[in-house]
Amino acid sequence: MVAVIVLGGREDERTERADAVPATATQSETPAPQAEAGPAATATPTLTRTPAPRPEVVSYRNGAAVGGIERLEFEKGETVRFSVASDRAEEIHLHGYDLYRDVPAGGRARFAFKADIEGIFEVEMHGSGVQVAELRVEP
Amino acid sequence: MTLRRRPLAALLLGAAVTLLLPAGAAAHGIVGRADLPIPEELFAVAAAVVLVVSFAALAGGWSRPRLETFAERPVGRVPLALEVLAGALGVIVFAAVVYAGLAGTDSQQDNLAPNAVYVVMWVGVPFASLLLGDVFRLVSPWRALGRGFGWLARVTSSRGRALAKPGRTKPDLPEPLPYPERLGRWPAVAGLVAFGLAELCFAAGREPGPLAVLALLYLAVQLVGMSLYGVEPWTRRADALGVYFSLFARLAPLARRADGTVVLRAPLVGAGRTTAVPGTVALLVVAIATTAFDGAKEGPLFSDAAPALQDLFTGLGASKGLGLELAFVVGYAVAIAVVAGIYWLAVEGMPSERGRLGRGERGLRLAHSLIPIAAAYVIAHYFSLLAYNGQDAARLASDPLGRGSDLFGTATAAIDYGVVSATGIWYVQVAALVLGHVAALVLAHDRALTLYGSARAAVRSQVVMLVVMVCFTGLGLYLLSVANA
Repeated sequence: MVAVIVLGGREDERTERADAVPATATQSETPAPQAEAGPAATATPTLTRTPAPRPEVVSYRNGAAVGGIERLEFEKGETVRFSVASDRAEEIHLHGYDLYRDVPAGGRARFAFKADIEGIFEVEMHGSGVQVAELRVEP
Repeated sequence: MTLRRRPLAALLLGAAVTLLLPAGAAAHGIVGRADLPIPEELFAVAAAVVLVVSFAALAGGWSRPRLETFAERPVGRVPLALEVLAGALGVIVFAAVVYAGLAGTDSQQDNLAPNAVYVVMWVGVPFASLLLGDVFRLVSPWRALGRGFGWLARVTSSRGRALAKPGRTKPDLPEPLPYPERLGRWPAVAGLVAFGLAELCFAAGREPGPLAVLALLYLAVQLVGMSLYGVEPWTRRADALGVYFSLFARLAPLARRADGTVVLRAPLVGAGRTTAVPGTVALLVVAIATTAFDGAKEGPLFSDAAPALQDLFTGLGASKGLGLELAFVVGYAVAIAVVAGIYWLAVEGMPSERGRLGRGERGLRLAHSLIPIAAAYVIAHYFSLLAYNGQDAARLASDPLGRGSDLFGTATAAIDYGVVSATGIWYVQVAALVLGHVAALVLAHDRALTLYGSARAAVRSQVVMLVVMVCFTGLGLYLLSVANA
């Protein structure tokens, strides 16, 4: 599994997220396409790769995704795993795959499924209509 | 900090979009899905093919116009009953869509109206027109209503007359005003820009309720226009949607003559019969720019500039949401200006035959060669939307209001994403652009031979057109490769 987190937003959030990534994080052997997209992508720490088995956590707080819309990258056939942490009770909708998960206030909702539809799909908080992440499944 | 600008800009835009326009105003708000950017290798192959084809066209073009003398074969007529039926169907669907928009849920994904307008009509009709000819004329709700009212008025007035004055059965209705020739297709251009603004710039344009109101407004304008200038002149020149869709029909192998005969003809040749009236160039420029901007706003060209534009407008007192919408308006205007600029440069660069051919004349007479480019842009940009979200029309037709009804038993139908893979979409996109490029070159070359007496002048004009087509096709490929990258 290759997952890319796009970090940004306020400085404290960026550090907080960087702390969440293990120090052992290294470039995986098969870099994802946009890691080579330009000097901006390769030269900055804003793109961070995590080792395979660790699922991503997308955080939703005060009506927005912490650190902006995260990109969750997979290849077709892989198992997609990520969870969404929310500060309020919501229903989460993954478009295309049409999966719904309820998340309690202060809790997490977990997604685990096979990536069998290619494309770019929104992960949306269904109640507020806010997009919190973007699932990309490459062929 | 500068190194981080791009991802930050993208994030800012993303955050702005999601924070300020919560009703799913992202580029793919209605659908929640987007195409993957085309891979670099495919980009390179397509660009190479385009260049090779272009040079081959330069070297081996024919020397006498051919397309304009192609024969067409009559294959029958459209029976009046079918016309009435199709028109009635158009009116019923229009009424249902407007009702769904006004009375149904506010969710863009669960209300029939946004899908019906932006997928089935805006994308489905061009695809159908490319294959079957001008299908929109048959189902156009305003044209059907206009003709229906006209018929009703004729029948009642002639009957009335016949009763009052036996022997006189001639209709006694006032003749419509003559459509002003110098207006040409300009009213359609204005309408198309208005549609583009609603679709691409203003979030409300995609929300069911406001969309239904806009549809009614459009209908009202068409009814007034048709009653002033007559159904036919108005729908052929001024009805933006009718005129826009008829562009694609000009490439189709099927057509309908003025006398109602349906003819079979070689694809493309219909484009050459586009009458060179004022506004035709603008219509094609706007058609291309509208699709191009829809692609560009998913890529860095626009998302890098959007936050600054938004700041500019919020600095002038606009709210954040309005600021972003105005940023989209600026982006759309720039897209129109760029497409217009490319074509203007080309027309400037063409020989004038010692002043015999003015700039406007050259531009108008070659404008039809942009039709395949416009069609290629639509196919490249919207193919996946039609393939996937076109299916969603079945679910929404059964539950148009999004309130749990199941009129046709298809309310639970899910989209089958297996119909085409991401790789399949890439091939369709690239093939459309390359084929559109070739078709445009063929049309431009053929017209240049008619336009210029000397073969030398024709070749010079063709070199210029070739550069234009390479620009447009290159831009199309570029947009596909950077969208959502």
